[in-house]
Amino acid sequence: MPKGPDLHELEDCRYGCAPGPAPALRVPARVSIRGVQPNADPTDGAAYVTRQPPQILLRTTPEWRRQCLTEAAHIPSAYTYLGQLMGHDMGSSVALSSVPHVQRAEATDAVSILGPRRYNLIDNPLTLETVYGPGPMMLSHLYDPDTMLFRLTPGARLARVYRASHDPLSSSDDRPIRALYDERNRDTLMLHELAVAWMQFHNLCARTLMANGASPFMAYAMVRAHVVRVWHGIVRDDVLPRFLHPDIAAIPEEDLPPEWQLDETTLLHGLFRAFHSLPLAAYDLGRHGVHNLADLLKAGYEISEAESDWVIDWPLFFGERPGGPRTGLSASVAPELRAPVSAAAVIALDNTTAIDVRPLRAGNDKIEAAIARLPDPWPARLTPQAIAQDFQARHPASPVRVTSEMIEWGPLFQAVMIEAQLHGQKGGLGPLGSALLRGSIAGSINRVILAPEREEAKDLPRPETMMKLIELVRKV
Amino acid sequence: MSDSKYVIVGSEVDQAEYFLHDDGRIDRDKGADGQPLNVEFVGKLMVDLSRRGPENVSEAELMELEDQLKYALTVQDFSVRTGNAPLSDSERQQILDRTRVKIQFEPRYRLDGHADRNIRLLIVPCDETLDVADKLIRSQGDSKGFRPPLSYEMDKALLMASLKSELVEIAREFAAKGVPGWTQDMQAALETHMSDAVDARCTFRDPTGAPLDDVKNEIMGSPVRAFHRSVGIYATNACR
Repeated sequence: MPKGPDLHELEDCRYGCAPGPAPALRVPARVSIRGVQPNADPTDGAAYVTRQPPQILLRTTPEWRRQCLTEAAHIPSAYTYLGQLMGHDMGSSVALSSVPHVQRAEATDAVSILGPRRYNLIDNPLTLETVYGPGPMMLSHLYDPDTMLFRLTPGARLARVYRASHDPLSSSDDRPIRALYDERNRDTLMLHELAVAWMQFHNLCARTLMANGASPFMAYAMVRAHVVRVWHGIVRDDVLPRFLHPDIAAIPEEDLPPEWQLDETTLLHGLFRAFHSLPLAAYDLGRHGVHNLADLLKAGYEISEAESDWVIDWPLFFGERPGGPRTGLSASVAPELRAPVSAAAVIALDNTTAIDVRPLRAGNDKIEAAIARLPDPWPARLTPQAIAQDFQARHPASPVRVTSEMIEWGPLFQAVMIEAQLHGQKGGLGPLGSALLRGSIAGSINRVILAPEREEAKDLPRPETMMKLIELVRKV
Repeated sequence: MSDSKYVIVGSEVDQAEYFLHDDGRIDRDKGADGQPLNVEFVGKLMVDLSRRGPENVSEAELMELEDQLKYALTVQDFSVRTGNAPLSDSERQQILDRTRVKIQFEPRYRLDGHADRNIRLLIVPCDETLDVADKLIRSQGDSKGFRPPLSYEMDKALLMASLKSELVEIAREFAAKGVPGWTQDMQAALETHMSDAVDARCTFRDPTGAPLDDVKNEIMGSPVRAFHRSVGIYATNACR
């Protein structure tokens, strides 16, 4: 007989349910399933603690931002965008209603009452699907069907643009098509150049194999796996060390507790949004001047001024030369993410999505379990009360008064940003944020199954850092 | 390199690569007295030469100025538009090394009893450079509005700052629409927002979001320097 809905399972619900009194009542310090109201309807938001908007995004000030960056700006800004590429490779979350043929997976248990509300368009996280998409058989605008190479000129730093014919009798849609799988990777000039560097790296390796006699398909298949291996190496040894707390980085990979692996929804909508604290208001591009972030963002379908006129000075951005832009995690965000119009839109979107998808928060049992597995002394120092007290003691003049309730039932990313401000080192995450990031990324990497490496691919280049990869592809 | 489409243009105010020192030396180090060789320098020079006229500028001085101007130029390629590989730093440098700048006065002859005789020099840019832009613009189809080819990030900010009162006025006109529920306070908030938003878009920032202490913000507040910059852009970038 099929198991009926068990409301006690909601305690572990990955959609963030923390059943408790109706919102009209005062929320106790610790809410559990046992306190669920008999008439509470889990679908109407009454059964879980009402989501609080992210106060540190809404109420931060320029002075606070400056103070935060003075303390935290140690991470070269290139990692902001390498982190964004990693985020894009973990997920592209869309409303389930936009994918109507997908069945609701959990049709028989309590979760089905809430229903999964989001769908991840990235089927295989951390396999550079954000760059490759479904591959050369499906995307002739992205790949040359004869060579199965990305349609790129060797050495080009940005994707090609294709346009419909200007013939008035042909299609009336004149919007250009860009040879880039995931349009999100055109978000900023920085991200665009990084995504194209990976495409160039694929082409460089595939050309090497084809020159040695491999067929285009065999070259594609071997290099596809090789590039994922290189990507995993860069994620593990180049990206993560910039953000991890030393106490978490020191733990051997085989000892990472399973409690640190977040579900996809919480990872995308809970943890990753902490990286919103990284973008700077303006960037020094070296020879190409200083530009406001707003001018580096893509603006519609056309080639932007940033794309046509400016080039990222990567050695400067990766900190290989002094004087480049640096950033760090903190309890603040750039003005572009705060005010006036774009910020309101970003916050509103994040907030609406959070209400919709219900990622876990620090007060949920699963996150509490993750905190309990942190090395000492962190479990005792990271209780909501301890974080709130420490924060108020250290930053009495901050524009936001941090409360334990805000840590528990505000968005997870807010708790992670506040933790980073208190306990992060050299601009990195605090122990909890580090544990969740490392555990989740390691989990995703371990789920990727690659065919054994073939002899022909053993001599392909294996850059250990993104900077070395860019140097390699730009040499051509 | 010979297949690359590129254009040699004046360096934007914050992107000068060379500096002219008081002793006439030109190098990449700004030092204490380095004057950035950029479009503002070019424009200021053009204004000065136009005021003095050809009779007050010796051949030797002109040659020296031409040499200085060469360092205010930079090579911009069309790789993004054509899908080609960008020029490398050494290729750009080689192009500049083999570039000669020529300054010419437009002659105007004043003749007694006759109308003036003028020679207007129209420069036709080399190597299909206008054709590249023409093709790009044609392929975009028809739409209302056009951003002129010689307008950059700074021009947009300068123009927007100069249009501020008109933009606020557009918001003010909304009060006359008589939308039900629209209050005086909401109208005031809208107008304040418009004013603040224009100011925010016309300020170049440092990484923390504070106004940047740099040449672009200086020029935002100085019409004369902005004029020199514009003259420099039109003098050097006409083929872009």
